[in-house]
Amino acid sequence: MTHPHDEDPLQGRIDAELRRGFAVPAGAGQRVAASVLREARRAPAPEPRRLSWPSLAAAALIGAVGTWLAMMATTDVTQEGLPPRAPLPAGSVYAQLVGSSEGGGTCASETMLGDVCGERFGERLVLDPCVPVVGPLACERWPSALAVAVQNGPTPVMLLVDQLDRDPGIQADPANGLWVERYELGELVLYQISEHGSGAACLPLLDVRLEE
Amino acid sequence: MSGGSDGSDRRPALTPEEFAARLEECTPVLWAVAAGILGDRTTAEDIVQEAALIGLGKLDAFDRSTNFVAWMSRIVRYVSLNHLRMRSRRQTRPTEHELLDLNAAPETPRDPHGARRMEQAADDPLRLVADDDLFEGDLKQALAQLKPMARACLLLKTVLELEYHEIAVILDVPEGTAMSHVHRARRRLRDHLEARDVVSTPVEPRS
Repeated sequence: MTHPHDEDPLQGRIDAELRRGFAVPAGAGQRVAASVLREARRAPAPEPRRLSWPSLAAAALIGAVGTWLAMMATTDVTQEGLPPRAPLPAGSVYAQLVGSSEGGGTCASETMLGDVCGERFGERLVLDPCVPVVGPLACERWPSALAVAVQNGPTPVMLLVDQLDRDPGIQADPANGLWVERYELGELVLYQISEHGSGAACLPLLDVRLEE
Repeated sequence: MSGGSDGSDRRPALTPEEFAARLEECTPVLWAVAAGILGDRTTAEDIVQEAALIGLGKLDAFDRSTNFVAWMSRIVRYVSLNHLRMRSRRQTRPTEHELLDLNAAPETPRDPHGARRMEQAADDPLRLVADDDLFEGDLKQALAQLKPMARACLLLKTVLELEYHEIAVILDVPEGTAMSHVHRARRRLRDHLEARDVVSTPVEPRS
């Protein structure tokens, strides 16, 4: 396929120089794979992750709460037929995020959330480094948002970040027992959604701010 | 929620052998991502190696039904960004060597691709300033001014000739964002090189 830039000598020269200067070194794949196999033979095979009773109980609790919230959400609102910019019901968003938390992976470093945010929105977020972050999650109701789950002590908190002008609004409903906090950080909007009782006791739930 | 409490209905984690095989296949993409984020090729393979070992340690976190390249690319990006941050911290203070250099020979051109080459070129009226090395040097400068994600998009598009939807998956950005990164990056490189007038400026012979 002919690229429109191919007819432009300068663009052609830039592309050629990039291809020459950034040609992938021959054999790189084999070297990387070999180093992985060497390391795997050297280190004992990782044991399958064993879940402790407390974590099993927490998972079961989250599952039960998620199911309950999903049921609450579907009884409150007919999800189909909503106008595109209608505020999202907190219950369904929370339930869906809890349901998508499996396989989300854990942030490998304390700056990962900030990095992802910086990449996606051009603004880096700073979160207390002691707070473990699980993410990213997929929010089907708000696909452009960056969604992660964080653990605020014993309380799971869902964070959703997006550009302010894409904020559909998240509507708290006292009946579903969720606490919703909304913040505007520069050009970003951030929501924290958590279960009501434990979250309300320690508002603001989490200190999230923009990197200066 | 899918999966029982013991995760028994989840497909088993990749074995190290499977992981290595998949990794070998997608190394060019991961290498280009690392080189793009870092803006140079010298440490890209080291970054991929480091990311691969992190991935190896997290095999049970990878879901086989998801995209392996996207998963590894995410790790590569984080390792690269960390590396970039450490490198920029180290560069905030000039090294002793640089200080000595500055003090000892203020008249010496510090840009290896700049004035010295122009002088060499000037010795030969038939030689153009815009020789390959000079062009490469200016292109590197222009690349350094791009944002890491824009560089990564540009390399994936130009060097590996990937489609925008593939770049979007690999870098976890919307397809439109990948497209605009590439478009703007190309524009900025062109503007930089045109402003430096390195394309066709002949050197005037010394009088």
